This record gives sequence, structure tokens and C-alpha cells, in this order.
Amino acid sequence: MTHQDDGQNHLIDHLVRNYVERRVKEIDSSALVERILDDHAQPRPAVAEPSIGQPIDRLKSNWRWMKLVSWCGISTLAVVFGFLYGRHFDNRTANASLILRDVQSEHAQETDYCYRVRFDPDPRYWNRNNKLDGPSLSHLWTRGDRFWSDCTIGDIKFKLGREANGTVWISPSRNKGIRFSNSPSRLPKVVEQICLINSMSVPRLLNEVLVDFDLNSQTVSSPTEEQRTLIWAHLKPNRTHSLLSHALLEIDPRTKVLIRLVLWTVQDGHPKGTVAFTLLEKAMITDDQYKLRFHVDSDAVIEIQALPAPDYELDLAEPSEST
Amino acid sequence: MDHSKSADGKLNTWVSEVVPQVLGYACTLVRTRQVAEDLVQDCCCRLLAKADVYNLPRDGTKLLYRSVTNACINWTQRQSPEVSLDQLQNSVSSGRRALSDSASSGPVQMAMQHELEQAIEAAMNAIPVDQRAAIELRSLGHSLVEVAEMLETSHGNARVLLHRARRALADRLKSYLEDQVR
Repeated sequence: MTHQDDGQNHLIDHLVRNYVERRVKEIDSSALVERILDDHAQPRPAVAEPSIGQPIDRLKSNWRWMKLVSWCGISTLAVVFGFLYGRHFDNRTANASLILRDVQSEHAQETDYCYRVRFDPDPRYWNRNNKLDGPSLSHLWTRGDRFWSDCTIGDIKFKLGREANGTVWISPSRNKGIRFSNSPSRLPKVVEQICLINSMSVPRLLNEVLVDFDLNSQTVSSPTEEQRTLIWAHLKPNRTHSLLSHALLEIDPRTKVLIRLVLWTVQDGHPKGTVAFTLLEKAMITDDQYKLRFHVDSDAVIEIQALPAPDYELDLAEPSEST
Repeated sequence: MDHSKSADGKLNTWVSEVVPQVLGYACTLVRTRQVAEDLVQDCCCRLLAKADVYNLPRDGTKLLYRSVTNACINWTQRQSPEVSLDQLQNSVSSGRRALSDSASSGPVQMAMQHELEQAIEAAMNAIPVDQRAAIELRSLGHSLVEVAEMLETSHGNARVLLHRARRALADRLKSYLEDQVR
């Protein structure tokens, strides 16, 4: 190494050091420090008395509990209590982030999972003029970040999917299909919303959504059922999220598979509704099923949506009506 | 009891001092503050859970850097590549400029300093995350042996990563550097 190289290396190191130090100064990490110290200060393992009504530390505050009740509505609580009821909390604590990384790793495998996905809009903010805002029921197949979903929203039926390369497609019938860009940020808003609500694949959920959330986990068990890990996700203090306010995940600690997921969704700052995912089966299906071609006939009309995509009304009409 | 309180106090002080540094470092690797916070919190809590095993005020900083480095690299490598070439071109292709003196305070010097900072950020964002980690750790004063340990790689590979990072930055910041190195 020449003297000149040495000098240049020193200069580059100096610039990099300044760059890192600048970032350190720019960031207020006091909230993070506080969270870490709070977490460390909590006794472990926890020895709280079993209580169905107060399953996690964050819900020990009555104020928070009442806020949640008023906020989410009785129907939402019914969904949660439906699968919490009858279980005994043994209060063993676990590292939620670590568990989720295991889940993420498991769901990144080439295995297909089928979920029933049910969306219940919040009656206070449900825009009944928009059919796509209504209650929906779908069957969702996921493999890693790929998915395809057979959706029913009111009297509208369609299939929706994301292929291995990220391309999102939608098909209202065997005669028509629409392909969108592989860039989620450039999807029409309505398609993006439908994708987010009806097709939350686990890797995407964990990578893009839960990074804004504080996580708490708890192991639950019953004499007749296997052990399950529950993870509550709450928005970190002073954070907002465009889609979610809370999430609850139920995980099989043995297989690291996501058994159930409940998302409390928001839109424009208001509760939008709850989405409940329930695992139906784990299986292997063909790669083709994640592709648009599998769900339409060979002579179907395939539209390619040019970018940039405007925030337009989604046209799910049959080709015979639109062409 | 007093001994326990004293140990807790030392641990809290250590957390308060090291977390801001590590968070800033993690932000430069994953580029998203929320992700960086999540990873740092996760790594720090895991380390604190072993506070009875390690002397964290003494050894914890290196352990935390090691754990955060790996978490950030793993996270980054799972993400789709982000394109920042336009930003990079805009930042570094506008002709030859001298490296500004950070002590200068005139408007021209401040503008040049700002431009240089943008160019460095763009150049850093353009190099692979493992090279980024290597050069940042080295610039923060860690020895090559420590950098290799934190990256969980061999000494030779750490040296290669560092060399490539420096070379890539030198190429991208050529117009800023050439007047400074003689």
C-alpha cells in the first residue's frame, strides 16, 4: 500500500466516521432506551395470576382495557375471546421478536398454507356505498411472499394473487384477468387495500407491518389442546400506522406456524374493521396456482395495467361488457 | 442488595450510552429507523437477558455490535434491492469539487459540506451491506480482528470487505477526494 493509498484510506474512514456520528446525533433514541430498560426491569418469568380478561401486561391497565373495548366493539372482542376462552394462561414469557423471526423463517419455506380470511367492517365507519368496503370472506393460499386468494365481498367474487416476481393480478372470472406492476407502491389504491386486507402473507406482515409495533408474548395451554404462543402487537408510543392499530398472532410453538391472526385495521385515523385469519390446512400445491394463467381460460382477456396507476375505480366487469 | 443496585445502575448507564450509538449505526445499515429500532431492541433485550452471564458494561458493546450487525445484514439481504442510482448520480456526478473544511462556516463552505454529506450518504447506500458494516465498524475504531468477529467471518474476508468498501467509496467520491490526497 502506498503512502497515498494510506492517506486516502484514512480520509475515507474519517468521512465514514463523521457520517455515522451524524446519524447518531440526528436520532433521538430516548424512547428506545426507555423501552429496553422497562423490558429489562420487568420480572421474569412472570408470576401473575391467570386471567382471561387481562392476558398480557399491556392490558393490565383498566384504562387501556376500556379503551380497547370501546374502540374495537363487542363483535371484535367476540372474535378474540372465541379462541382465548377456556384456555389456561401459564404466563411463561418468551421473546416475541425471536418467536416471530422463527415464524418468519418457517413461513419463508416452500410450504403452502391455506387460511380462511374474514373481514368485518366497523359499523361506525363502514361506507355502505362502497361494495369493496363490506364484509368479506376468502380462502387464502400463501407460500412465502406469494399468495392467491378466492375472495367474496358481498355479491362480488374474484381471485387475487401475487406471483413469485411480485406481480399482483386479479381475475373476476375465467374470461378476464388484470396484471399490475410488481411495485406495491404503484398499485391502484383499491387493489392495494384489498391485497393488504385479504392477503397478508406472513413475511410481508412481519417485515412491513410489525416493525412499528411493540410485541408481547405469552404461552397459553389447556388440558385438551396443544400449547400455543400468543403475541400481541401494539403500536409503539407516538407512532401511527396507515393500516393497523393492533394485531394478535397465535402460533404453534412446536412447528412455528401461524395458526391464527387478528388484525385491527384503520383507515384515515378511524377503525376500519377486523380481519381474522384462521389456518385451515398445510399442504403442497403447484406453483401454477399462484399464477394468473391458472385461474383464467386460455383465451381469456388479460389486461396489463400501465403505470403509473391512478386511484381509479376497479373494473371487475366481464370482458363481454367491457370490450 | 446494594451490590445488586449498583450493578443495575451500571447496566442502565451502559444501555443509555450504547443504544444511541448502536441505533445510529443500525440505521445506516437498514436505512429504516423503525426496522433499526426493532432490531436493536431485540438484540439488546436478548443480551440483557444474559446479564448474569456476561459483564455487559465491560464486554457488552462489542457483543451488541456483533449481534446488531448480523441482524441488520440478515434483514437487509432479505429485502428487495432498492434503487438509488439516480440520487447517487445527482450527488456525485456534478463535476470536480474540493473537499470542504468542516470547520469553515461561510455559506459556500456550508453548501459544499452539505453536498459532501449527501454524496457520502449516497455512496454508502450504494455499497453492499456487509461492506458497509465493515467500513463503519472499522471507522468507529474497531480493529480488523474485531470487525471479523462482529461480521462472523474470517480475518481475510473482513479485510477484503473493508478493501472493497474503501475502493468503492473512493471511486464514488473521487471528485471530492483527489485534491485532498497528495
